[in-house]
Amino acid sequence: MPPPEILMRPTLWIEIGYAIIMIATCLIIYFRTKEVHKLSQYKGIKYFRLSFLFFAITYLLRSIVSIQKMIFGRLEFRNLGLHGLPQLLIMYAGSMALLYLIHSMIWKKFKNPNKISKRLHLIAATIAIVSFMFGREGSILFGLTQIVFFISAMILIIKGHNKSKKKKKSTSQFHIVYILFFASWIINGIALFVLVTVSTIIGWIIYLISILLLILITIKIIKITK
Amino acid sequence: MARKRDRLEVIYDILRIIRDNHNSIKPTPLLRVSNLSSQSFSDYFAELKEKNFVKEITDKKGKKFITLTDQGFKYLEKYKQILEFIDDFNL
Repeated sequence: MPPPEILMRPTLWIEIGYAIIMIATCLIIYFRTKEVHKLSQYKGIKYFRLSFLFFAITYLLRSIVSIQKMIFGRLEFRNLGLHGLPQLLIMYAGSMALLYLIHSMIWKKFKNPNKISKRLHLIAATIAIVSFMFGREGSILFGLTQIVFFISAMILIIKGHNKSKKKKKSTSQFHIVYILFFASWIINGIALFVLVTVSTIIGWIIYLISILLLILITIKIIKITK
Repeated sequence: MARKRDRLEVIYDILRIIRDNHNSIKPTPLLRVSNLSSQSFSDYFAELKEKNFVKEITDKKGKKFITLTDQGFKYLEKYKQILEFIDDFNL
């Protein structure tokens, strides 16, 4: 049992509140898009949904780690016991979320996108295992792969927006929200593995911005699928 | 040169033709109006039946008609939303 004074800390409740909001909004996106996917059987929608399912899983695991650290103290990244397992899974699920997101935008370029989708699991598992095995240096390696994924996603989002601008006279500026959300995701990841704190003002601001951006995406999805 | 229709658009066109014909059309006129090759039409038609978007009914004289199911009407209703979703998120 954690000492009662820990339960009085506002940072613990901020972390719990943040986790609940992020997981719930990611799951809302996943379930709200179920019908449009069922009707259309469109692969891009399938990968988009899976991306947000993995975001939800990652936020869940991330919160378990953060809350555990707050209650029981700092965990060793190199620890290969049960304490290390959530970190390994976070790296796998986090990579999957970004890989599925990228795949949702480029799946048309492949003859058999489902086969590629299976290979994504292999890539994400490799990144997670290699990063995990190298300890501190591994977390930097993991951060770098996430930044590469993010930059690829950003390029694809901007390219897609420009393409749609050519087709239509008026386009929304929604792609900016989309890019910022993924930027906040990367900062979140860095915060978890490097800064490891929500107790700073910067940590709170990152959390607030992440919540705001994800809510904007959720509102957009709700509007489209109502 | 005319733009090639994508899968979602072809499905929408087939369902719209059926709906605009008082939700009852014979297979041959549907093939003609849908502007598809007979092979493509057969493939799409099989997919639409499998997804329960359309059903075949036979009248007393033994003539076959194609009608939309509730799921088919739902697709027509949601088509614009699906396109908006795909476009906004670059899917």
